[in-house]
Amino acid sequence: MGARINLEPYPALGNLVNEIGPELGGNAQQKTYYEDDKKLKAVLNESNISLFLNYHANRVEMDGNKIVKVIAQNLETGEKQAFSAPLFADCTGDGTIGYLAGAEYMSGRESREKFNEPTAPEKADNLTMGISVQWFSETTEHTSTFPNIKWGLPWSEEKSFAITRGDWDWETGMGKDMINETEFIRDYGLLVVYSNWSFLKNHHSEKEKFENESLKWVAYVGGKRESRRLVGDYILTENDLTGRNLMPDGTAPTSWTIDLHYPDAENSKQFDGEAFRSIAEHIKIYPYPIPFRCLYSKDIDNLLMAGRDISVSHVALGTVRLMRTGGMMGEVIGMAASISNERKAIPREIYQNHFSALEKLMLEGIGNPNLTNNQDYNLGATLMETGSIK
Amino acid sequence: MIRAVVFFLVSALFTESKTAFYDNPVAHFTVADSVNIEINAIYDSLGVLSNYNAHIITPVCEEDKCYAIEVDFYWDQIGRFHHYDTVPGKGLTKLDHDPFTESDFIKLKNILNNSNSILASYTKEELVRNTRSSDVDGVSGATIKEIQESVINGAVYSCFTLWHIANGLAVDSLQKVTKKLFSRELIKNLVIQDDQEINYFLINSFSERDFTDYLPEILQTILQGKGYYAKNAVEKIPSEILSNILGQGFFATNFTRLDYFAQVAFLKKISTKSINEDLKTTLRNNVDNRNSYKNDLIKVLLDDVND
Repeated sequence: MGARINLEPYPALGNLVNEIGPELGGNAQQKTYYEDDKKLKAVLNESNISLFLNYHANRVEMDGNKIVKVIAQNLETGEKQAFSAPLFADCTGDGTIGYLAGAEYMSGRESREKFNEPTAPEKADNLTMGISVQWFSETTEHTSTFPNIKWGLPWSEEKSFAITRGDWDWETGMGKDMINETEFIRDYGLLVVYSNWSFLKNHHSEKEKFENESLKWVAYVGGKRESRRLVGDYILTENDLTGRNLMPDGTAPTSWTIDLHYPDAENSKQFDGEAFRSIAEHIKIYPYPIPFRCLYSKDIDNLLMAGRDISVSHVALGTVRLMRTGGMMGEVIGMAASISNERKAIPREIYQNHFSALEKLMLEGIGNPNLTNNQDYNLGATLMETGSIK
Repeated sequence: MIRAVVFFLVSALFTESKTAFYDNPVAHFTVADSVNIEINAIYDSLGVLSNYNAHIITPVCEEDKCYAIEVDFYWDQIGRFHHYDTVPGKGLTKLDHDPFTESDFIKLKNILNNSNSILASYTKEELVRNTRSSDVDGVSGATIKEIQESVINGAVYSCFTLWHIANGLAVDSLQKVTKKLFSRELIKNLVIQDDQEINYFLINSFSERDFTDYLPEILQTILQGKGYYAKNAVEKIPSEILSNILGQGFFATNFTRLDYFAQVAFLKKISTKSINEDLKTTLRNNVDNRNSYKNDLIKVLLDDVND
């Protein structure tokens, strides 16, 4: 979990994130840190939510510019389930529903001149942020061995990492196809973890230090950061963020820095361009309320978005992609959905004709406002206004 | 003699304004149960509060060796630590009477000027591991890793003590004094610095009377304000004052310069009974073609006025 909740101009946004957010922070930690049960329980307790876990949405049925049905398949049984609704929210990360519906999307890195962004590359390319395959070992009383694998990458002491945990910066696949090569990238992430570990256990000059270390967890679902971004009625870009260009339809504030990742140069050299370590470059910004027009598709009349597939440039994604920010976007589109339902309005009509109703809901907030804020870790290097009202 | 003359001249200037001219020391507090620190207000040539200072003499023990630190501290008008001066002949020393080097002095400046230092969240006992508590205010042990960057080697407790004097204990007392010294001249001096922290200090400190007296200055800060300052300032100003002639004139002229959220904050507070023609015109010209809370508020205001 990262970034902040309960910020101006809508300090009530984030109360729901606080209700379900884990109290402990940290990447690549024991599973108890993530309190999945808390989230599950919260959802199961809502009478208005039907939860379908382990379903993969892979088809849509359209009526003109509206999605009529989303069809999903159970990953274990193959059983198909159709979901009919007047309104859909694409929080898939990959913008899958929007893509299937034919919505316009962006991907890769835009050129500098496209949105006049100083941090964008001169020429457009595909060097998106990568997928992290994190891992950790545990210290045991007994010693343990690890196979001296023959299928690993060629390794050496110089290339190896004599550590017991791989965090966010074990990141790979930058420049590859983040939609169609996801598993290949994840597999490479696994390959380097095992190649390194095998080396540490069997060949490293200090391998005795790892005798009592045993690999405990290696992520089999890679942590993806960036793929498709569905285009809305507005595209949020770097200059809006750095210039604090506040808009009347601002909603959930993005905090955190503009945090963009690049392949580690040394690691890239050592591995023929297939880097698996990354670096981050940060631009500090003040919290910025994301325009509502970034949260619905400009082509598909009844499609909302939240998370990393919203209408932002690659550079702006650097700040909106944080979990708490995504959670607050979710609160906002949930509110928008209730207005849509009540007034039979599509998202664009909410922006045009019913926005004050959404503003009022955002001011009220949802979720329990009386809980202590336990989301006070990993707040990032956001610029904050010094002083604030007391 | 000169001091007395200055005092009389200065106090003569104050007969008209409501400012009190406080005798020094204006504040004092105790450090380590025994050391008394007295803070003096310093005024400029017109008798307006300029800054605060204190002559600090405090004993510090580094690893069982104890000695006295003597420095002069200066704070600004809202109690933010500004700088320190060493006292001639009383240089700063570390353990074993090792004198501070040039870079130690610079490091101390950086430590003291960092109001967000992690030293804030530690007690003296937590600064080292394996502490052996003793009556002689001194402990031995390795400085914990997290602290190392925030202190000077061999002067851990000095840094800790001085930081807390600079950034902890003094601030509230000084702000209380400053509030008592509010005057048009002081408020003008504060506002002209275009410092958001100062501006928030003002709107958080002002009584209703202060808002009435200093409305022009506060309105000025609204134009300078970055981020949500404008919105917050509008929210703090009492409705009746916001709606007075001056307030309405200001918003009639400057409404479009404000960001959306400050505009909404103003519209929520303005009292409909007294909207004058200029403001009515401005509001009429600011109705958008899309629905928004701002539009709703304007329509309600104009409708009420039209009734």
